[in-house]
Amino acid sequence: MSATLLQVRGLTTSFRAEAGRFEAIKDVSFDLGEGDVLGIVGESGSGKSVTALSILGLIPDPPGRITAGQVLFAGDDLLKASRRRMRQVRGGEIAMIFQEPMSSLNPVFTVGDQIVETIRHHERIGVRAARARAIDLLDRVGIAIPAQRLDEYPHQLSGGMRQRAMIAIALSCNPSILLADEPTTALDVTIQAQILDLLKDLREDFRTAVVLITHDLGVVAQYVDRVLVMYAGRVVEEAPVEALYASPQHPYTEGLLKSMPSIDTDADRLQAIPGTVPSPFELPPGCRFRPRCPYARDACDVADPPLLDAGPGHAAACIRLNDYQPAARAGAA
Amino acid sequence: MIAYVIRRLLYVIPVLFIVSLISFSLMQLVPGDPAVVVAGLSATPDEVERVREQLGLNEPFYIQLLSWYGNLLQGDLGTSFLLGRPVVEVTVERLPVSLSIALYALVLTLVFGIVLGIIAALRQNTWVDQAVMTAALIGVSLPNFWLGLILIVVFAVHLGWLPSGGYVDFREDPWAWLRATTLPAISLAMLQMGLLARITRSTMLEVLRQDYIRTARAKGLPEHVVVGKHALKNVMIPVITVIGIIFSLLLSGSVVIETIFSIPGVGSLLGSAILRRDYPVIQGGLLLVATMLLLLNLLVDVLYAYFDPRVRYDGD
Amino acid sequence: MATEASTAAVTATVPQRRRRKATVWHRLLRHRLFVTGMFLFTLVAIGAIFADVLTTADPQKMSVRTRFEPPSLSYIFGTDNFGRSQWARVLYGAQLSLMIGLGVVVLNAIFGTLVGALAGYFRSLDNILMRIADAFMAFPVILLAIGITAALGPGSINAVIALAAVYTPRTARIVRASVLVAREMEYVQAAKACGAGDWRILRRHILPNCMAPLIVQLTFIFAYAVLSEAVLSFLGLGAQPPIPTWGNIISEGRQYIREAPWITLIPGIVLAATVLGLNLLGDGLRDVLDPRLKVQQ
Repeated sequence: MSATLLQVRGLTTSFRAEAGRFEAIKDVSFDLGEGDVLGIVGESGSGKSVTALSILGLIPDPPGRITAGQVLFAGDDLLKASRRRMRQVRGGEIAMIFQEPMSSLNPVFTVGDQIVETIRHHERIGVRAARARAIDLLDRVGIAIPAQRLDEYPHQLSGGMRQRAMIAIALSCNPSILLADEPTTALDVTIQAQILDLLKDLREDFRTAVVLITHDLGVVAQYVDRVLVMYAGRVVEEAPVEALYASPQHPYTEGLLKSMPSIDTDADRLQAIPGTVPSPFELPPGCRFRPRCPYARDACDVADPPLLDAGPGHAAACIRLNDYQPAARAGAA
Repeated sequence: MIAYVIRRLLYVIPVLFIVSLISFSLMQLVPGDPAVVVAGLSATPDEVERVREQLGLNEPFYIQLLSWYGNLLQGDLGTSFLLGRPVVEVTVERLPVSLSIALYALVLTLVFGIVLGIIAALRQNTWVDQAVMTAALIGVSLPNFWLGLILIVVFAVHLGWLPSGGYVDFREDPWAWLRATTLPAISLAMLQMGLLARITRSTMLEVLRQDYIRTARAKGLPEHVVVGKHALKNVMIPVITVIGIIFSLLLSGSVVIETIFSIPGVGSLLGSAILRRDYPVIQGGLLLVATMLLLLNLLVDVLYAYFDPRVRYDGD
Repeated sequence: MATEASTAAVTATVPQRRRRKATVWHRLLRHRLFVTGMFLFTLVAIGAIFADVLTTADPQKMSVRTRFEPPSLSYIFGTDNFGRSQWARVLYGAQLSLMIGLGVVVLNAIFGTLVGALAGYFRSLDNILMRIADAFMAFPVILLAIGITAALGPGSINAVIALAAVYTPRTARIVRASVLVAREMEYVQAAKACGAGDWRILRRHILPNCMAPLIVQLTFIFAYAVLSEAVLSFLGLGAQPPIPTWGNIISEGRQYIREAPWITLIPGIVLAATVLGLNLLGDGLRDVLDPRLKVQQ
């Protein structure tokens, strides 16, 4: 692995709801190196987006609050950084793109406006130069006739073009990290591939590290180096992509892979994971996956297992690993 | 854009036609013999007959209707019984007075309504928010004529800061104009201010939850740009659409407020016309005001298109 | 994210309707502003209903000896220029105001629903009905009401007719909007496919869906109607003196506002409190019944 850019340690974010406070993500940790592509997978509600938003301090407060952890980036803990510093980081050093290109661009400003303002916020540069760079960026993300598109409004662009424009905004200040939150979910399959290929190229050209959040394991297999699997707000498995597909260690990962169609297996033998993701208010006492787990045993009720070593760069939160003996802890939420 | 304006214009025409029909019909609503009502109970049969003649009430209904439209197309709305002058003339000469006060009130409404609404939204669920919203709610519930009277008692009678009535033309003496119109403008604006503050607040809260606001923050823009640029322009869109309604409410209030403050505008003209049953003035005044508002709404639509690029291009 | 968990429970089906009704009440009673509005309105309503119990004074009885009495123990709200008990006049004024408001609301409910349902359901009628509604709405509310009452002649009944005429297009628009949404619902399409008649579909399937916005709208109409009636009678177009209305009490008191401000002040405060109460009720109902229109709490 190359030089570490970002270290996330024990990140925990909770939300206030009518029924009380709940933890949307708990104890999330990972490292991101220069030029890495890290995939975060999980069902909706597993805490993928909250993780990304927490890193940039974009969790709306109230109702959300980051209650524990560290986000170490370029020598700072971003959770303790000043507002000023955070504004430099956001969009400048760590950029983010979102799931809905439709609603993520401001409908009442032109695409050019929205790129130029980002550039000019982060760098001392004239409007003219910023516009030139914006045209260049649009061209680079594959938008035809960029000079004309620059003065168009988001609703005049197709979904794929909007996402390209979002990427252009994200790349406008050469960030070292790009957080991509389900960037292709809202798009057609063909456009999906184009956007993902674009991200891949960009990573090669700029050495930008990418965190790709997705629920699509097919995407993961194709574009990602390392994977975090999240379930009900926790990381349940972390592995290099080949290891994950070859020998998934957590039963949830196993279930996810089994539910994925592939050319090798018979399509009519796809298996769905039984049950549903528990509500954050009704988490089981021990392992969160216990109620849906085919390997569940009594010891699973004792405590939520930590990530256990399962090979080089591979870890999973399952007590079947290394004959782990859970010890009951008091006050485990 | 031009196509859009033309389409709106075409839509206004049938509405204007019905508006004029409603104005015409008002006269038909007068129970019994309108001529007697107009001439007064003590009038001699001769006088009643003269009024009947003057109003064209001898003619059959369709002739009355036709001549109403015939005159309308020539810009003739009839003659005021009371003043003996054409309705158009007496209305138009008083219009600047009413409009100047309405504009003043509109400015007050927009400035205070929008600013307070935004402040409340940004301080959601704090005491500031609650104070602003309580004030807005009370503003919406205060009868404007009563508020006008209270303002007169407090600021004119007791404190003596401002005159209790009358009007000075702006071109003659801007300062005197401002002194004379401040209390009426406040009485007029209070309701709309409350209304607008409430609308602005809820729109702002809605906008602040949008994805593009999150994008703006993710780009590292400072909060004043996120709110002042990205949110504000989106908030302005629905706010602009209510300007027509606000103006309509302002003109509604002018009858009472101009009467209370003895201001020689269209409102007080209508007020006295009502008491003296000067029907041509009532009909004509209503028609003029409604037409003005329709045209204003047209203007608002165009402004709306300017603010919301989605409308602008859908129209092409 | 926080809402994701809570939205799942929202879909209500028919058997749950009764339970929903109970929770609606529960939520209304927890809505602080709604309860405040309820309190204000109930206070005025009690005053109106029990006016002849709460005062033995005749609101029209003049007495030279008791002119311009300021509020005191014997005259709670003071007396006016004719020595009439203001307490009695304000109470009987409340009676008239609320009755007029109620009349406008009832007429509005009937005609607004009728016009709105026709326009929303029968597309061929929509254009013409809505153009007429637009034309009515082009006039400033009070001005048109003034015009109509001026033509019909002053009086409470005419005020009710004028205000109902002015507000009906507004209510019709709201009903129409709900009908337009409801008629596209799958169960309505299904009922249609099963051969249910238009009338039956409207009554059984579509109108129940318009109830929430309609109730909210009518509450606000009540508030506007009370306020507008006061304006009309202030201008001398409502009930004629000596019958007391809040508007004409204020109008009469206006001349004595320096010497006897209570004559003007008190009915204005009561009027404002009534309108405020109704507005609060409307806000509460809207928050609870029609969350789409929710002004963020």
